[in-house]
Amino acid sequence: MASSDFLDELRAIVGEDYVIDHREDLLVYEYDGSVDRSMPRAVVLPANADEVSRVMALAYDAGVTVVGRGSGTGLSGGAITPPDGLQIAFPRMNRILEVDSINRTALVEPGVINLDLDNHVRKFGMRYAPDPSSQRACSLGGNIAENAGGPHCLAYGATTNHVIGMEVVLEDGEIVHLGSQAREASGYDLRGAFVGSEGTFGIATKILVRLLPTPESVRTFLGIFPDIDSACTAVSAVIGYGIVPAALEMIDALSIRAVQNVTDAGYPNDAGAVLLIELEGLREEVEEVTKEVESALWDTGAADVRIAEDDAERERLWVGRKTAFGAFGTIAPNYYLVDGVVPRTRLTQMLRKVNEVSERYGITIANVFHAGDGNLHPCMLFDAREPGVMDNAMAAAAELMEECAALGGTLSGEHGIGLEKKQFMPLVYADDDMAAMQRVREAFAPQNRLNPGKIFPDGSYYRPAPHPAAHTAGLYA
Amino acid sequence: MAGGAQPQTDEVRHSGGGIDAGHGFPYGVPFEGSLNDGPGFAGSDAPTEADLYRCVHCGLCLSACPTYVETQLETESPRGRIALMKAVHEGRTGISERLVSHWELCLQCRACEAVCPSGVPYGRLMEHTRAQVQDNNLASPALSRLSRLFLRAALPHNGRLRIAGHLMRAYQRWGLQGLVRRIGFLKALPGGLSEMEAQMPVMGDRFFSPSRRVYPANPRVYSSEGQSRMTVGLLSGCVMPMMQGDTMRAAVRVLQRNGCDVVTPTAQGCCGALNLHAGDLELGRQLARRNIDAFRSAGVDVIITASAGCGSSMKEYGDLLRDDPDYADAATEFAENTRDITEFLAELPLDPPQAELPWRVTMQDPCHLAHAQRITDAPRQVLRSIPGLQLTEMAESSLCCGSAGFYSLIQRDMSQRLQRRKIGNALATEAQVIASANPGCMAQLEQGLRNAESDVRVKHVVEILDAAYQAEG
Amino acid sequence: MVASGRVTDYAIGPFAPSAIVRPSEADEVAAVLEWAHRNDVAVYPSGGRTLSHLGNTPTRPGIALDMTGLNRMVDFQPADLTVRVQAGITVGQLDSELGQDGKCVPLAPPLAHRATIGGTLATGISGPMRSAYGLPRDWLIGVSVVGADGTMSKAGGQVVKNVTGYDLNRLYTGSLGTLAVITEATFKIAPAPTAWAAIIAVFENNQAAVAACRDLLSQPFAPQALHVLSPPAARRLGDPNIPAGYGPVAIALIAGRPASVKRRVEDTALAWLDAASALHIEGEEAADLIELLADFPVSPENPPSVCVRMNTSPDALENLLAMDHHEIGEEAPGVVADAGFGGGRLMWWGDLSGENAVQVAERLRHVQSTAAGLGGDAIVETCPPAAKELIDVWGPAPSGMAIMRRIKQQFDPNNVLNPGRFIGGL
Repeated sequence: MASSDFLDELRAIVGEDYVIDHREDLLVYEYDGSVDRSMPRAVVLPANADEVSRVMALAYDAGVTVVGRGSGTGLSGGAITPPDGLQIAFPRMNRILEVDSINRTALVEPGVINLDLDNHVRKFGMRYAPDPSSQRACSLGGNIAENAGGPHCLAYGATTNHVIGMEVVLEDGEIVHLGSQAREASGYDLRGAFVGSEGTFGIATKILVRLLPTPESVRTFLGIFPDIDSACTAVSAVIGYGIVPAALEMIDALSIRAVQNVTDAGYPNDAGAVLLIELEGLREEVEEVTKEVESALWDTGAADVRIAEDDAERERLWVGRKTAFGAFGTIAPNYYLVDGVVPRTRLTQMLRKVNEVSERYGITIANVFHAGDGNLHPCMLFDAREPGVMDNAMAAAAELMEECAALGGTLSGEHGIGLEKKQFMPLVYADDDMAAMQRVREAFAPQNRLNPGKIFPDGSYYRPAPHPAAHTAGLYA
Repeated sequence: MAGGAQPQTDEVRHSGGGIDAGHGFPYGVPFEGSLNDGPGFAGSDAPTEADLYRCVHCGLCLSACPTYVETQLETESPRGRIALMKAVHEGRTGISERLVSHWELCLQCRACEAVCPSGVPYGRLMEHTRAQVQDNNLASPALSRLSRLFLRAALPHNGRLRIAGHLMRAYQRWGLQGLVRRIGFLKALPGGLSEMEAQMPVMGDRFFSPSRRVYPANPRVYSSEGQSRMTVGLLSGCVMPMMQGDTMRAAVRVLQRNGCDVVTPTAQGCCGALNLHAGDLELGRQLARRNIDAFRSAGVDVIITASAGCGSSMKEYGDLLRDDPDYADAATEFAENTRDITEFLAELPLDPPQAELPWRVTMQDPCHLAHAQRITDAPRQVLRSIPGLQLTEMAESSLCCGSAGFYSLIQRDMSQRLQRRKIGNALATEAQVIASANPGCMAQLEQGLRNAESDVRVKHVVEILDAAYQAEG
Repeated sequence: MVASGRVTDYAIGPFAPSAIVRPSEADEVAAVLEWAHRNDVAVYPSGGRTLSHLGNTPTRPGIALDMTGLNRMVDFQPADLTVRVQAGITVGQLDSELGQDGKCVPLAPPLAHRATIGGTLATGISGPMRSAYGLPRDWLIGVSVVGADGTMSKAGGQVVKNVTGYDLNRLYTGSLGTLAVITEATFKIAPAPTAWAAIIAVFENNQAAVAACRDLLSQPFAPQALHVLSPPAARRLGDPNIPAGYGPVAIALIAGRPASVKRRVEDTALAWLDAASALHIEGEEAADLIELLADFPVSPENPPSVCVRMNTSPDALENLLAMDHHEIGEEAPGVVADAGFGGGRLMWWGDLSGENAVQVAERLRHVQSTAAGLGGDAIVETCPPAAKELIDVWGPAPSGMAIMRRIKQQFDPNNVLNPGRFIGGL
């Protein structure tokens, strides 16, 4: 691909400044938020759907693979582009086109940042509920590709529950509309199939999202526990009570330490684990449920239960949670995160396994995760410069995913499969299950030009490489 | 590549690649060798591996970065710039003009550092990277020229600065400035000078004199009003006394009013911030030692500065001189005792003014206060202590105004884009006064307001507080 | 497993299948489909037959696949808030099993005591509480299906949060059994409400009703669901509490914990002081009203002769209420509009068998084009067979129709499953 003619034609579509093909510049389009890396042949930054369509048609005719990229915060290698592929990035398509207070929807371009949208619609007394931890940076287009989650998805559901319509460009450049404000439209739910398809079905160029009214009352608790087992029991107790909080997050001792290294989030340093719980709704409802949650926490051995006094304290508690993964940088220079899910009643069992794996492999593992919906994020902390450590971490990750599957869970709750979990798909899906999925991809993208080589096992394996810095430092003798 | 499947190789092919994965076809087939034959990082001042790999490229810095927000290009983002540093470190590319252009577009505002969940010391990484660029003589011509002219020749020398300042003031006061601007005389001068002229701050009517006459042996001491609570040292530094004489005098009065004896040691000088930002670590260290000596001999409890940029670099003296056996401890002590004046006043806490000051004020957070020193509440506390003052927040109050030391001279286009953005946000609040806490920002804001033909004024937080005290009569 | 029921019981309009098969396990379903695929026999899956009239009339001879034999609850995990059931279990049975534990899957399809889970998912039909609780697809977390060639596969899983692979749950939901036959489904479940209430208010005119609804929906105490019925629809609903007035009737449906229900009732009543008349009901009475609204489109007591489901956005509420002039013959439609979620139904009662099919079809096409003009679509759920022949009950092909065709082609290349009944002849 990518003859100079092709690049010239790209420039003719989007303008000189928005085709990046100098390899020194492309060094910064190699990565996303995870550990994978590959340099695309070129990056193109279109300004509107028409440009996207023309770029796609051009690439289609030239036989060039296209990979979409939002803000590059993904954690499964979804935006990693093969060496002769074209990366199409959306930071320029970042307008909020319309906020509709009657239909309670917003129409946005794919490059709009999740938190910017939420902040904007709050001026109208509404909110955009999905709140991935990267919400300050991640884009709506990327959220759609991964069906992104976040703490508040416990009560409100993931991205797919909030995206009701899309304008989409298919691999050959055709523009189609999926879903609309009329949410029970005729025909197959193509919108539902598209969300979470990891960029393999098409590129969303306009997104219609559902907004929720901001709640009348919000209450945020910190349940402080002596150990992780009792915190897990508390999670089951709360859910078993028939309470579905807006958010229910677990932060273990190591993560508390990491967070408190960076910022004073108000987590007690000596706790074995804390639960961050948020309730939302009518005053009366929050009042009533607060009592039930409190008693559930005390009954399961909480050392203390603290309720945020004001917005500032509430904000502080959340900042701690949302910066946890970055804060692991204060413990070790690298981390690798597993996004497995187990039924909520299996959390204790799963965390014991995590602990056991951690000891057996000699890898530090921190746990900060969406306990309310059983979505773990065991996070392996290591220094990639140590010989063999990557292999070790990957082997440990494999065991954790196997355990999730064995407990009736799954590989990914919100980060997607992408490159790095594709070889584990057979743990949860039989060949026939994956064949059915591939049929849908065949229908959307018959030529498989969009983000190929992701999601499904194809014989290529995740293969950790030695750290090059270690190499140059001579640690790899 | 579509269709051109390659067999997956078992051997790990790796010439570069970070904490990387080889996926076999079609991913993770890294290129071999280096992209160019530029030099790599070398020597003791190179960015350290520990600092570089603290960045896990999560991307949370993107939306905080002024140049990313303006360009939407990953190359002009903190994450991208660190990726380029890593690539040099890993030998995947040498330092090239292109890389330098991305690094030089960085304002070093450190907004990214304030939001970084991993605690990446971005400021330090960028200073060390620029040092490498300097060492290899790869800085852009504009930056090289400026750093010769100002950073090495002028700023470190208060005497030379003062003479230059007097000349500038005369030039501005006698109306030559307007004339020269009209006839376009400066356009005829070699590139850069006309730009500098446009950037030239309006010199104060009265300079602030840190000493009794020109450099006598004894420091000037301003006695506290009422009973003395403590003795504080005030940084007069390099250009502040000339550019911001009013601010300096207000600072002294405000400190006196709050029970402080104020000392301005004679031997002090430029804090070295601009040299450090440009990568001239050695000269930066010399200037730091000079200030440490000057304030140590003055016997003060705290060292106060009304310049956020200076404060941020003074608070990092400990880090800067950690390998200097003679100064390491003193530098750490100096850094720990340094306070921004708003921080100091809020900690005291200050004696609230009694008179009303019915101004509508919006606060512009200087990067080196908000991001480098993580101080955003203190200036607001000071402002809120003033009866009748109405504080209204502007959008993006902590997004860089584009001043950034000499940035406005070298990266004129980006600087002005950010200036317009900042002025737009400030004017949208309908405030009468923009409060700031850094001389560079104040000059940039003043220029932006002139361009926008606005009569909104710019004042340092302590000038506003001083005005409230003055109003007490 | 060939069943003894009369084929006419399994009729789809004028079409009767040639045989009925009633398997009791998934592998039997697989065997039937494998056989049908091999022998090129069309298969018409069937559940509680509450909505069997939905869709275009089949033309291809084939057999009915009665799924009601697969009627077990497979796994109920109250502490996980998940439940796995076979597709033939009725929604009513599931409700009562879960209800014993204070839980529910808030689906509320019409005639829930007969409607099966499989049928509810295949039709994607939603209930009157949809604006608060969402659509069936929002509760489905895993599904087992038998494909057109008899291959068994599954999608999703047993956990409430899952992005592993493509989301086929949503693709199967609402696909009218044209892609695969659902044999088992896993749902996330919710705590069941412990209190119900409804506020019923009559307004002077549509404008007043619309304004009152808009206001209420913007309040934090907004009800879980809010419907507006035109006067003829209100009369036909047959709830003794609904006043037989001449203005539009707004019904606010409230469910939840007692304290919050009380608050919503009080504040709604206050907000609606301007209504011509208002009353409120609670507990069982309110729950019955919800059920009545759910059953309304296929009400056994008062079945409409023509029923059109309007898929329009919430801001089209007033336009929808104004569609009561779309007469068929002498008969004007009643309108039930879902003010919170958007959309609703137009229903014509009375005997329309004497009406000219061409004119009925003409009118229905007009309704469909009006819906399109409002940015939505209209699905003809019920209508005389002769008129059905003349229209596509699903309306004009939407954007993405080509993708839908390719999906059908991929999943069912021999066109075995429910052929010809879905949109665009799928």
